[in-house]
Amino acid sequence: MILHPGVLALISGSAIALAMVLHAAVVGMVILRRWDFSSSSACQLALERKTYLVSTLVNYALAFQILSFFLFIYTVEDIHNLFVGAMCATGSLNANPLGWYVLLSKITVFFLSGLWIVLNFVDQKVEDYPLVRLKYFLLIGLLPFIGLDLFLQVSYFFGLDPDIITSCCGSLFGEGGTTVTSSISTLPVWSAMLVFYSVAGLFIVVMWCCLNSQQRLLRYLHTAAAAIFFVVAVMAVISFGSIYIYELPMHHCPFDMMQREYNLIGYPLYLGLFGGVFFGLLPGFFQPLKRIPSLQETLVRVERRWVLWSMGCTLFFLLVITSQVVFSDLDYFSY
Amino acid sequence: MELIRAEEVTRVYHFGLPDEMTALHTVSLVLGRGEVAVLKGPSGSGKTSLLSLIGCMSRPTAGKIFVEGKDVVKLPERFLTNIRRETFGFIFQQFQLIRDLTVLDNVLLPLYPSAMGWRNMRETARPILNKLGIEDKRGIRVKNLSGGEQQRVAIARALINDPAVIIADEPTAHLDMDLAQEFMTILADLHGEGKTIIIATHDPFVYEHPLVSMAIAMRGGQIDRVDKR
Amino acid sequence: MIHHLKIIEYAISSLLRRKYKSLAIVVAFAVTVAALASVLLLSNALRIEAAAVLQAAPDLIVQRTLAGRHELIPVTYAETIRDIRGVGGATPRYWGYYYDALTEANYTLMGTGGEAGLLALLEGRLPADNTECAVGAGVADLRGSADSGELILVNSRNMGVLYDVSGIFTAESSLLTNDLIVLTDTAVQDFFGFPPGLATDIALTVRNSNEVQTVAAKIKKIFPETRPITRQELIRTYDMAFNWRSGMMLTVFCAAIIAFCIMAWDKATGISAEEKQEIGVLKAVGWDTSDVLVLKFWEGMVIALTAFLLGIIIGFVHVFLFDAFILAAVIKGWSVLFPNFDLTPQLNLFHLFIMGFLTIVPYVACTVFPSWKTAITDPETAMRG
Repeated sequence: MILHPGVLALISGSAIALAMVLHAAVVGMVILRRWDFSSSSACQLALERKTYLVSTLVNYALAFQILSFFLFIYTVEDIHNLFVGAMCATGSLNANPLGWYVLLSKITVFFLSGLWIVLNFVDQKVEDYPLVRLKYFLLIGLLPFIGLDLFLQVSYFFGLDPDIITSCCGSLFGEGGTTVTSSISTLPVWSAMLVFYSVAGLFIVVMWCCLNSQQRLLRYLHTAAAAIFFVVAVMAVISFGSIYIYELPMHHCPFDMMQREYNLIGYPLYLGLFGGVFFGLLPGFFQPLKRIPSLQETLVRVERRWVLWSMGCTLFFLLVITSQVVFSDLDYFSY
Repeated sequence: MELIRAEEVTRVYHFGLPDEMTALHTVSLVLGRGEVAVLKGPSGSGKTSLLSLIGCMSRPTAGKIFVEGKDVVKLPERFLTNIRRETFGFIFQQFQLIRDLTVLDNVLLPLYPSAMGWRNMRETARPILNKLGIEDKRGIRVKNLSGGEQQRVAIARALINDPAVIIADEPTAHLDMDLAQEFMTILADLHGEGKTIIIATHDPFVYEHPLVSMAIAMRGGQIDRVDKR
Repeated sequence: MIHHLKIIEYAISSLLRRKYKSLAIVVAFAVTVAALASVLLLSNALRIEAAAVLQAAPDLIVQRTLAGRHELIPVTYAETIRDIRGVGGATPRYWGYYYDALTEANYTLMGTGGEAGLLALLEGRLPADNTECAVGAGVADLRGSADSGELILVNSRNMGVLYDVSGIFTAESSLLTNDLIVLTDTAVQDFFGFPPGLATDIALTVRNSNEVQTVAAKIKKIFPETRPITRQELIRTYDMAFNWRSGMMLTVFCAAIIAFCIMAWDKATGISAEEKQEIGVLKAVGWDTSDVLVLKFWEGMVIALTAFLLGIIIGFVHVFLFDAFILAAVIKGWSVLFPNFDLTPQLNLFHLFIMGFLTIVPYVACTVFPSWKTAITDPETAMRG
């Protein structure tokens, strides 16, 4: 076990977040069983008050999950020098087979929690609590993910052994390997750029269409486009974005760009990407809820904001990655 | 023109518990715009409970309440609070001012949840404080004011959102005759501006005042008699 | 946004109206943060100092082991090692530890390795013959050698040996030299009774730092009973030790954080009648439950951030201006001789983040339920007085 302060902060914070969501879920189960909107009884009133408690607990737990995602990256980056062969966060993640699963878990919890918060926000905007049952069912469903996140983190950190010799981004994201990541790293740069900017362009076109039309199918297309864009963007960062940032044709690590020596460029890059994708996923997920009469007007209004936020974040991400390519001292095509 | 309608409202406190108490029993009432209504009756007759229900401060155990045609009983708290803030201004029996805050801070309290900026808030308060003659005392802590001045602060706070209805609960209970007269003069001015006024009192000076257009006598949680003047 | 700013303003005024209660929480919280901050700042500063100092360590040190324990190494191994491609130089080193029963201190006795004369960090000169020694400032203070100009040590044959002090290392070098006694190589061998032809270990320089692992592997192949130790491994070991120590201290401090949170919960739950009435008034004049929750949140954040800032400042001052006098013994090691050196003041974002997580997160969590209980106060309470 690495008794590192960042590890202690992560585990204690995750445990607190889990406790808060567990409490919220227990209250949620009571609400689900006894909720009767048409009643004016004292019991119903008490349940309505409890919804505030649930919202507060989950909001705080989510805020922690978002921040802990960055703390996790920072921590695995900071402990990399304890492992032979590790030169960045990749090495730390490779030092225990659970490392990458923890990262995947954190990303999943980030998106799921965000979705729940938005659902709760929309429900509170209308007068008849139309999404109460759905909300609390989903909260109970979210609980295992948060529990798994904590379990994976604990198992990962407890299982770390400095005597293990690990491999770093050079082998994981390097050329000549047979892994998926190696394949992504060896994508031809020109083709990767073409695909990336085409998909980005299509995504923005879909956004623009959603802003100017109420067509149902466009919303589903928007969500699908966001999901595809996420995958393509990550591939783009690994295959060509990274080499321009590091100005090294063989350096494809997606984590080193969050280090100070690269001006922490990774942070605005990933913030833009995650923001753009998160808001981009929302329209399609919420489209079926427009069938509820009381939600229709509210959803149309907030959906517009989501699309605008998605557009803003995606354009910001494009600006950051393109500026790195354009202003880099690496002249790849004459390499 | 109908402003508030209560249909068969019942209010039971601590329902299902040993200390269960029925404060109101199937009360129905209609109040029109521009009305000056007085709820009179002894302590425990249900005046405060009825005011609380009409003013969207609480919900009835049974029955319906309509404010400007809208059924408010089933509204979630957030929406009920919005209606209360926009439609009603309350003057409480013991003023319920925050003693360590200044006059201005007390008056601006209802505006904090709004999106109004500080400058707009102060601009909104200024004419109200002027009209009530307490503009020069805006920086003084409420605990350092006299009873009459505190009442005017309470009135100013009730008026800050420009509500259609002013609700006053036993407003003259702690005032002498002169201050009571002053209070009714202020209410008359407000009525002249088109506001609807509802007062709960057992002070005969108030319920026999010429300003009153409707006197509602209550007893034992029910309406005994309604006199329209 | 403006809504939140107004509520923050009200929150601050509310806290100032209850200044004694607020101050009590801020002070308790700040002390907890200061303790945590001191641990993290000190261990981080020491880690950086150690890493800087270890840059001067040899690229590779070759030790011999027998049954898993350190053994003296034949000097002839150095000649074979020198012939390995990539090795710049291989120098046998003679050194060992000496326990001084008089002062209950451990010293490091080290041979000059053939060096002589003056050094920048030495006031005086290195020992020229077997009767002289150079000592660290800590040793000189403990044994009074600065005044007497002499040092008596008891050798492996239980005989007292008198050395003339030819030089004393300066305070600036104390991290490296505080417990050091430098003798000539032959004096060290004679003192410890080294058998002829054996040394403590062999220090290597490797021309290309990327080749260090390769050279180590080759040495291991030629001499399987040896243990080559790279500089990176040394740095890692120190990192681990500092992480472990600071982690242990933090774990202990978790008890302090929990105690503080229990107190915070108690304070938050014990809402006074006056405060309850105030919330009732706010609800009555148009604040809803979520507005009151936001108010309570900002009250908590104002307290937490004020205490956090104060705690960081206290921790920073404690570590970098007052030499961490409360914590130093635990973090530096349980040693009698401990160097006085100036730590380079530094504060990095990562550590601020961690401290925030370890303190603000539990505090906010434990005030959620009491805040909610306060926020659901019935507005009708204002009507009832």
